[in-house]
This record gives sequence, structure tokens and C-alpha cells, in this order.
Amino acid sequence: MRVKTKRGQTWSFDLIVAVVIFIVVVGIFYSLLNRSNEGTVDTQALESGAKSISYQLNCDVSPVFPPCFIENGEINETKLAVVAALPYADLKELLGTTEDFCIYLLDEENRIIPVIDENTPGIGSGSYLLNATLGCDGS
Amino acid sequence: MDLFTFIVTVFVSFLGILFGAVLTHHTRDEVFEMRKLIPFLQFAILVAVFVVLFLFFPFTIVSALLVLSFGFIYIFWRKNNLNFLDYIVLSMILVISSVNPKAHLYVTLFAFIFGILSGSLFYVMNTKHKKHQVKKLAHHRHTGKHLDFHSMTSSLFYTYKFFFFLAIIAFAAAHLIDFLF
Repeated sequence: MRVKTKRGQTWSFDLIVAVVIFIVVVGIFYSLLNRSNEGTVDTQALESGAKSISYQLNCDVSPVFPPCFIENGEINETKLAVVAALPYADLKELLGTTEDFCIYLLDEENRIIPVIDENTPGIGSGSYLLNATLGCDGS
Repeated sequence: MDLFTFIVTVFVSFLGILFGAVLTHHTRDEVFEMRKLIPFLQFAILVAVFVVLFLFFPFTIVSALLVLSFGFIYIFWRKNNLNFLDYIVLSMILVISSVNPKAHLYVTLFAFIFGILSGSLFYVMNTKHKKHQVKKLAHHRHTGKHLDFHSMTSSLFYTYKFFFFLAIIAFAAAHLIDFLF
């Protein structure tokens, strides 16, 4: 008598049960990982966003005005005044970012140099605080 | 990660299976020469996938997943001698990695390369070669059939579709469990 052997690949009932259990366990792991990631900030994305903005401010790297105002390593005050006068939403769109930002200048001793005057210490979102009380836009 | 992005990444990652078979069809002698190396490369890629998971996710969860995955492969490997167990594990890892887009990118890349190797191995295992017949290669068992190119691509396309839908079902199940918790 010839015994027919099964050589193809078949799904047994226990394999199907194992796969279903596997999916459930993976679902639980997914849920745990999702919860542990909640509320965390992607600092790498923020850093690369900040770098992208700084490149666009340098006319030697990205010669598009506005928003660039740094030429040959020096600030072009006329261009800076134009950029500072732009509404925040327009500037955000020009820089191609969805995150809030603040552009400010520091001297050698890390003291803030007002971009235009004391009322406008930086260019950007008022929610960004330059010190305990002073917002980026002077608010 | 939204469902559409997940579907696109799974579509791309599992495409490696078909890509591998087509590549091997045009370079069959070269691939046949290095056939014994393929399972080792596949194992190296599985290790690389877990290294990525260890880099991006908590140690305890990834360790549990590692034990679960290799336990699953080990049990059913011995029992049924199935070739597609790796892909069940890869489908689950694709779901887990979707929590972190960067990790998912690396896992997708590795799954694509794994697919190329699987497709090549499937081709080598299921075609007649003038030099020798391949009876057994690591855990991959010869099915006793020699397929023509059309039958082979149909079979691989079926496998591709199956794991594509398995990954999507697992993704939906994971979201449902997340929602219920």
C-alpha cells in the first residue's frame, strides 16, 4: 500500500491559534509602547527644524529674501527690519515650519541684543520666553 | 502612524519577495552558487531588526517580543517545517515598529531585503537546476515540485497578498486593543 505523504505547507489548527495569540500579544505590546510614547517630544525633529530655519536666514546658503538677512557673516539691518515687520504667521509659512519658533541675537556674554528695540527683543512666537517674563515678541 | 502610511510601507516591504524571485530568474547561476549563504543572511537580518527594536523601544518589551518570536518560530519549525514563519514574525514586528516612524523605516528596509532573500531562496528551492537538485536548505524544505516561472510568481504573489493582509489585520487588531485598553 502506498502511503501518501503530505509535503505541501499547511496551516494546522494550533498554528492558527498561535498566530491569533501572537496578534493579541503584539496588540498589547503596541498599546503599551503607544502609551509610553505619549507626551514625549521629538527633540531631534525640533533640532533639525531649528537648523533648517537658521540655514534660511543665511543669504549665503539660501539667497531668498525674505526671510534671509545674514550676508557674508554679518547682519543686514535693512533686511532684518523687513523680516521683523512680517506677521508671524507669514514668516512661519515662509520658513516652511509648523512649530513655534523664536529668532533672537546674543552677544559674547550671552546677553540678548534686541532685534529692533527693547519692545521687540526677538522675532517669533510670544509663547517662547526669553527670560522669566519676557516673550519673544516683547509681550 | 495612520493606516494608509502603514499599508504603503507594508506594500513596499513585502514587495521584496517578488523582487527577489525576478532577480534570481535573471541571475540564477550566481544565486544558486551562494544558496547556502541565504539562510544565514536572513538570520542576520532578523538579528538586525531586533537590534533596531532594542535601539528604539524599551528593553523589557523588546526582550519579551524576542523570546515570543523565536519561541514561536522554534515550536512550529520543529512541528510543521514551515517556511513562512519568519514572515508571520516580520508582520508583527512591522506593527510594533509603527509606533516610531524612524524605527518603522529601518524595519521596512530590512523586511524588503529579507523579502529579496526569501524570494531568491524560494526560486532556488523550486526550480530544476542543471547542476544539482536542492533537497533541503537550512529550515527550508523542498516541496517536491519544480515550478515554472509563471507558477512561481503566482505562488509568491499569493504569499505576498497573504502576509500583506495579515500585517494589516494585526495593525487593526493592535489599534482595537489600544482603544479598548
